[in-house]
Amino acid sequence: MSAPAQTTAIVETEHLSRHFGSLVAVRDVSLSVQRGEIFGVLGPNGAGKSTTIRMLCGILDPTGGRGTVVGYDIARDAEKIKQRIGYMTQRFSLYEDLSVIENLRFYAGIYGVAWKKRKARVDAVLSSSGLEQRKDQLAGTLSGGWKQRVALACATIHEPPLLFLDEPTAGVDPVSRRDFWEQIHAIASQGTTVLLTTHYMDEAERCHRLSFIFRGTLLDVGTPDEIVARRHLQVAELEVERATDAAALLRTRPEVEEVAHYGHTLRVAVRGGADPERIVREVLEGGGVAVDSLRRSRVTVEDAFVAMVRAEAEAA
Amino acid sequence: MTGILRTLVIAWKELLQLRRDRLTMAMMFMLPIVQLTLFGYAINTDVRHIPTVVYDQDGSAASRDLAHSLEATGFYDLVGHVSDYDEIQRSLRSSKARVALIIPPNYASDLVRGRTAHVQLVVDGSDPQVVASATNTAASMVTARSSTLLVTKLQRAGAGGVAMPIELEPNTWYNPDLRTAVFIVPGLVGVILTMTMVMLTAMALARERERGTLEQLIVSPVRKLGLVIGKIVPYVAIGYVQMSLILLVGWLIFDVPIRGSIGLLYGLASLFIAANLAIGLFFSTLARTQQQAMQMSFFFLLPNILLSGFMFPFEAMPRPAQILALGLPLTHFLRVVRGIVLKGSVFADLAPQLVAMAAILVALVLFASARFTKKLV
Repeated sequence: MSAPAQTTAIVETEHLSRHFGSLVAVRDVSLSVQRGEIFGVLGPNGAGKSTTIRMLCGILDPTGGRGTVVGYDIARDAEKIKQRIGYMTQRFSLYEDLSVIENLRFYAGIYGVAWKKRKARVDAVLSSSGLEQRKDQLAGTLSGGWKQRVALACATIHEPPLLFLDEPTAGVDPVSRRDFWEQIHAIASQGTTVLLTTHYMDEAERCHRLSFIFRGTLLDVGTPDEIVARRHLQVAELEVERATDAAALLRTRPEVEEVAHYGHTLRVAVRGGADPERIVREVLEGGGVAVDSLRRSRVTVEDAFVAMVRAEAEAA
Repeated sequence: MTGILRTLVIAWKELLQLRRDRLTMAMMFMLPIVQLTLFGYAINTDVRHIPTVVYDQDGSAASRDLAHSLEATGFYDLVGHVSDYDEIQRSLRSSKARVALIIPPNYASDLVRGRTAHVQLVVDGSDPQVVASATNTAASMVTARSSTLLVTKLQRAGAGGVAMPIELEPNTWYNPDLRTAVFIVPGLVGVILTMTMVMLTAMALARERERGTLEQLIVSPVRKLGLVIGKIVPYVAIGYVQMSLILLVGWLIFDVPIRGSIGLLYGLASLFIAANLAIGLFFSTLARTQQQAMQMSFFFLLPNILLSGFMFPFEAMPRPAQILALGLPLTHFLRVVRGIVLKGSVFADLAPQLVAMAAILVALVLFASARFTKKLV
């Protein structure tokens, strides 16, 4: 029996890979997650995010590489890992024909929450997720946002040191998503590590650290700021009359990484530290398009992500 | 210890869900009763009251007497007289009659003169079961009559002390009145248990897979065995309730006696129920949806009904079918349940069935648990 290793990393993988037949779902992923942080795994659908999480939870064997979670090897000690993690998927796997409190009691029992502690734990998660009023309602009759709360409450009923959330906010309205993120930060502030996958860029910025997965490969890991800085992008926003023509003109310049429409506004990202405002003026004045307004803008994780995916797709 | 607690938690959850699922609950308890009534009343393999026409070419007192004694057996209902072969054909074709008795012109005089009278019986062979019953009954009736005539004749001729050389006294045990219900009801215990146990287990696990809750359980510290046992224990209880219900209703309505030990029956039923649950578990590993699980269960039910000896005698089946049937738990359980209920069989009588069911169970459990892993792929 191996004792948990005393490091600050709660999740550590080296060259973790998973093949399904000839398909490589995850290739050579090496990353480490520190205790207490909110770690986001970002990537488009089918990039290998869920496969990675499933391997870390011990429900899918890796076909290559190794990993440790809460100090245990994911291939050898999967059952030990399972006692120390919480897991929630986008499907909010609740028993729809059981009430909220019955779901909570069930998971408390499954995770072996001591009988004496059970009532206190159930009450605690009910109040922290604001579910007291709905505790006797059947889970199937709740809206998406409320189901998500119940699912999170179930996943944390046994106070796991590590929480895996696989696309926890898919299909949930914006207000519920916001509330959910507040809850995630509250949970993390009590020392729980949260590892989650998402393809919402605004959510990525709420993580302490991020990793980008694309076609099964890890492209970058770091804080949102670090990841953005490494792309060397500059962004300007402008308002023009003929936005579509302006966009077409801008795309002809090699420095321009990306032009995107946001209502009447165009967002222009340029590579290699070039000055986006100067380039916009040059191009549009030359093309005879009048610029109504022009200003610098913050570079977002989304800008960085799009640039990374594009570079990778061109390289392939 | 925590493992047992987890198993209980799962069983408790399963019961809670069952309680909410009124339709399934109703099906589980109504199904045995409806089936029992249907099978018990509708299925009747003893053919009686076969519609019969008579073509009496003789028209004598003796020929009328023959036709009447045929009707007196209770197997034939005289529905009319015909006057030629065409009419016989029409009667059979229109299903007005299934049997025609043809008495030749010189029937009475042949009898008097000691010549053999050739009486013909035409039978509609489209239903083989009717053929067998009709010909057998008529043949034995005619043989009995001939013997009596011979003996009378010999006595008249002065041969004193002539008696029937051989007389067969058939003596049917366990079901002397040959009531089909007595045969069907115990068999129905096995058929209904097969149907509900396989289907409920397969669907219960397929539902968790479909809803994604199985993944949630697989990520939890619940052990594979604990998960499976917790899921099926409630259904074992339901199986026993169904079995009791069928035997009780069978006794009340169809007067089916229970001659042997109920304890022995319930004990041996545990092996049978477990084997069916293992099959259901195996199906659940193949099925992605509840619908598929349901289809597989029905697919499995058909050979059980046809091959197990529930409806057709095992001995009458060709060898390959028999070999297949021996692999079905129901084949062995039918012998157990009929043995105990109808014949009062004791443990020693049923040892071969016990061994067979145990062997099937072990094989199924090994097979099912090899397929049911706590990994996703």
